Amino acid sequence: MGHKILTYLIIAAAAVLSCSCSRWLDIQPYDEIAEDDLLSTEDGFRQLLNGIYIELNDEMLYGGALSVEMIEIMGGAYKMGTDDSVWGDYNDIASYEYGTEYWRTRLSETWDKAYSLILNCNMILARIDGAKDIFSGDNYYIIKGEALALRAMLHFDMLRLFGPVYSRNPGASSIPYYREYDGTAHETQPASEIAALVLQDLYEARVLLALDPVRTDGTMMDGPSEGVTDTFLYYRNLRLNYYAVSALLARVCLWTGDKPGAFKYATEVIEAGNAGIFPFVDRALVTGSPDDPDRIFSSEVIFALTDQQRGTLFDNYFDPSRLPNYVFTMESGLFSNYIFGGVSTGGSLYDYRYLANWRTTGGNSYFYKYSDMTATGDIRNTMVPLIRLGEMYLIAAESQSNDIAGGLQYINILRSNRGVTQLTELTRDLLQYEYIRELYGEGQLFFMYKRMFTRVLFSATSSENPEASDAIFTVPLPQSETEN
Amino acid sequence: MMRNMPIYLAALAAAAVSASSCKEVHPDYFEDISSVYFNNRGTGNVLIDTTDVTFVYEPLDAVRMEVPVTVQLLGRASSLDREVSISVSSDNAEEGTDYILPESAVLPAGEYSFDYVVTLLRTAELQTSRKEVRLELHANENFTLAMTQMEQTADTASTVVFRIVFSDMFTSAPAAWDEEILGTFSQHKFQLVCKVLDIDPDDFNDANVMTLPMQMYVREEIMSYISEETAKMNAGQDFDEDILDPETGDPIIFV
Repeated sequence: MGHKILTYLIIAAAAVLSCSCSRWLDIQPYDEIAEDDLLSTEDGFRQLLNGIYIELNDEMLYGGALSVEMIEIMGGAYKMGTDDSVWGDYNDIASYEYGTEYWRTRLSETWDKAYSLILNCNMILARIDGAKDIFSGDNYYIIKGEALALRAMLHFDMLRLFGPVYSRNPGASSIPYYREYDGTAHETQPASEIAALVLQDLYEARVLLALDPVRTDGTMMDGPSEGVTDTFLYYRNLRLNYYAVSALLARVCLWTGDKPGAFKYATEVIEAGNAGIFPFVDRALVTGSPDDPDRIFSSEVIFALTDQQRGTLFDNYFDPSRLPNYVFTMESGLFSNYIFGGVSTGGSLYDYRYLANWRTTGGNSYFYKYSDMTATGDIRNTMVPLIRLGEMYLIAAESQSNDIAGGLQYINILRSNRGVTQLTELTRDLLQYEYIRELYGEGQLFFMYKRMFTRVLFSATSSENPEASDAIFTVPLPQSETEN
Repeated sequence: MMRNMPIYLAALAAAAVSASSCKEVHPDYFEDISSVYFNNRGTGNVLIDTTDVTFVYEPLDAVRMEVPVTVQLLGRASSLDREVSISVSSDNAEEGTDYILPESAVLPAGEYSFDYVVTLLRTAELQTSRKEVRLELHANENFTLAMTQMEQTADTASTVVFRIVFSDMFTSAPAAWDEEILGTFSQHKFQLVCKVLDIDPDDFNDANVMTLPMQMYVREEIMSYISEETAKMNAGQDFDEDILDPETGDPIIFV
């Protein structure tokens, strides 16, 4: 540190002697800034919150492992190849072999990244109440609400991944929940206790975000009008906004078996959709320009990350030009006979979700959801959807009563907005097919099978679909946790 | 050779214990050996025979870096200083220009090891090429070379030759340069950040130091700085030319 003090003295002297040499001296030197100082201004809180959103794009979280890669393989989304020199460790995770050195490391990295971001949420939450007076407008409530919601979402996804099959054993030990910024290690708690803490955070977030401008002005994805430079409260579906919190509540309630709660929150979001805040995708954007469709149905996205490098998801996993390297795509029989074909399954090649997201060449179908639209610089090319309106219809259908058949109307509203015919009945299998059509490549399928405790659909060949078991659905905690 | 040493020592110990006589036993094995070897350890206490160092984590004004190379005695300490024979060679580095050697290599009296400190000099060439110096131990009137290599689980390391590879370049982004936050890594960006914000380059090796709030601070400040300097450039005023990407000549796009 001594050399730095000397450096400052020299710099200070130089600045006094020569203004022309001091161009960059008006910036506060980095190591004069304590971490605490960064959160002494509203800008500091905003920056840290933005940093957490950016970091969610890490490939160990929603920039790969928990969106298109590891979790989707576990959810049976992709047909694995037999050539280990091409598919490497992927066949192990498709067989739920969590104990290999590679996957132990990978899962541990996901855990570490999630909890490091939780720590940063807690840094915001630990300091924000003491700094309430520095915030302009309603930003205190917005920032605190989002930080609580982020903390809840990350814990919930760790619970869904590493926790037990909740419907079978809610009292089983699961994960630790961190609510303090004090650096102490916490013990794991039963899944039911973690779920209660997740809900508590989300309830509080929802109250704070009652002031969210999304409720009155919508998502404001067109950005501010000319002359407005502060975009903090724009692009609300790139934040855990009020409705995203409600949608998360619907997810959590369904996970814990609270169907009335799930239905309540899912329908609240559906009503917001009906009110024009999250309108169904314009048919013309999907079918009118088939070479450049709005592949992610962006108007329906309740919460997405934004990542300038999103195109790498397509390049790294789905682009057929990768062949003979691995390419992630659906097993052809499942694709043709159940998801986008099959008389009794509701599958159709006229489905917008096929038209917008898939291309079939040479008898093989490839997934293009994350392929960039032609218009460069379009914000839709950066979006990684994490919660969408369609899931709310699926949750509503499943939670409207204890009789799944009663959810038919919700599925048919969804299907009518996908350009396909109505179903005449709803069964658990038909609901699962609809989940696959709607949420393919978004990291939710494994959790659906785990929640329902059913076999995982990898293939149209039933013998290739692993039966439900605690062994395949419960991912072992990282060694660092079990040793402590 | 070294791998057999524990066995030999164990045998000696067993022999000492089993000696039925109460006569004081003075193990004399080492009295017959007076040898030296390079004993430098890396991660997991693994013996290494090469070290790869870079100036990039040193302060920008640092022009020297000392690399201690440990020479270990195999045998008993002596009451006298004893000279060790070390030759130093290189294909691409020159003594005095690229490195400086100690005046002598001496195992001090009573000691079992000493550091032979090679001082590396920071030159402009190191930003574009790596240099290497090779140290080699030789037998002399004081020491033999009882072992020349050590077999380990993963490799075999030389104990009489030690290489120092050095540069002023990155081989990869430092551990705490998060590309999600700070964009694709480049040496030019890194040096600009360290200069403008007066950051110790070594901070980027430790995520506990370069935390998310710190990285966000760096991101916001450096982007603001580039924007301000670009405005000056566009207005025809003096500006910091280090904001320009050396390959394209345009202002750096950070993220």
